[in-house]
Amino acid sequence: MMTARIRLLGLVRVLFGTLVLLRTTPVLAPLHVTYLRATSPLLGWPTPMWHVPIWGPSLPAGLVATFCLARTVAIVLFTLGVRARESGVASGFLAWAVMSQDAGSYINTFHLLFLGLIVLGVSGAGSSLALRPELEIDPRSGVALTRVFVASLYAWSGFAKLNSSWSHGEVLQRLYGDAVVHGPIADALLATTPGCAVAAWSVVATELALGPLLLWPRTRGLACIAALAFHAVLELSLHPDFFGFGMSVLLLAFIEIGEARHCAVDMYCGGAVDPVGRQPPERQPPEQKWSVACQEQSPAPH
Amino acid sequence: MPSVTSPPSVAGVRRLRIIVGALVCVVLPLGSRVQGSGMLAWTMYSRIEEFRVDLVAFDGAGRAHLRNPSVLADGASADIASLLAGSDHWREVVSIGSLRDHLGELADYACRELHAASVVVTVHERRGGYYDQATACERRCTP
Repeated sequence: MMTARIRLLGLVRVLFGTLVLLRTTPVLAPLHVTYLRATSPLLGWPTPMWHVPIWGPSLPAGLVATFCLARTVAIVLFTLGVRARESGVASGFLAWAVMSQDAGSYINTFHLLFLGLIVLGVSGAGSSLALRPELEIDPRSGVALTRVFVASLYAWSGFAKLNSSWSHGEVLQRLYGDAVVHGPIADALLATTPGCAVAAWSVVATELALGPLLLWPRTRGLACIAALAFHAVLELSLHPDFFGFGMSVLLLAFIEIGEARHCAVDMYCGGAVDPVGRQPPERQPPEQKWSVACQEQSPAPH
Repeated sequence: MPSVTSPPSVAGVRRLRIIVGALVCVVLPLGSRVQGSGMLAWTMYSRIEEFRVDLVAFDGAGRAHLRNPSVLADGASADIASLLAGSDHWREVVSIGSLRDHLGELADYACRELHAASVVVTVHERRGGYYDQATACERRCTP
């Protein structure tokens, strides 16, 4: 039985896979975006220039090139929904293996995109909107894995900012001074030292609050909107590579629609496979009660 | 008869997802913080570090020559080059861990590029405007 939740996760898989393809191949090269320069012929393609691996020994150039090609094929399969679990996990590991060859190339955006492939692959996102849908098993835990992953990112990021340099606004002041953070919003908020401190604390509070608010069903919708607005502000002021796009796509996993909205507060979520064989409670159609009330209030005919 | 593979059990899939969740949400970030680099801990511009690189090359007679580390940027990959360029002065960076952790390899590379008898590479770091630490590596270059 196909659930609304797993359909959304399928949509997240398609969008997220497309994002990773756009970031790791030269498709967007004609746009001449600075951070997309290194994607030709493929991101992480071996170079004769000096570089050091993050961990372990340098791999032979031929092997790294093979990894680049295999990664791209795996991401295409993942996006199309062909053996999405295997291709998602494989593409995530291959992408990390390639990135690990150049210590200077590590950025949080890549870490998010590559871990996201693994998480979505394991979450069962290949069960819908797929060329070859995989068997849907326990969608509840799959959606929960994706959601907890997203919530943990905000929590760790907020936790990392609990240091004096950030909380006094020094970091934002420097980023603004160096024009790393710029634009009209930055001009309005970061032009003064107190403004930087207030903005710094606002960011910490937002990041620390978003995780719990996203996980709590009652505040989920509002938290989703707040998170998207937060990423929009960052995108306008900081241009953080593809990070904001990746997070925005993953936030779709928090949307509750139709059957999934009912499941948000119900232990019988998904309905596909229940571990102890319980059946969802029958729901009474609300229309019947409403029509009775209307009949009682209708005026008697003259 | 074609072989039929039985689907994975709900309990097995759930266990796998819990393990993956624990790894990506807790073990990786926490391990990275404990290890010290914080690279995998989603630190996101949480602090700014400043660094400077001193590069001293010794010739065969033992004379010291102070060299600008920017010369090493020419033969380095784009990402490493952007770190090394202008690093003879204090520069701001989100994390200098990747360079500090590979100082030995940088010294080996400097040996090859500068054709020196030996080199000393020192990375100075400061946080919040205060001098914090210096890490040095000396290499006797093999001809």
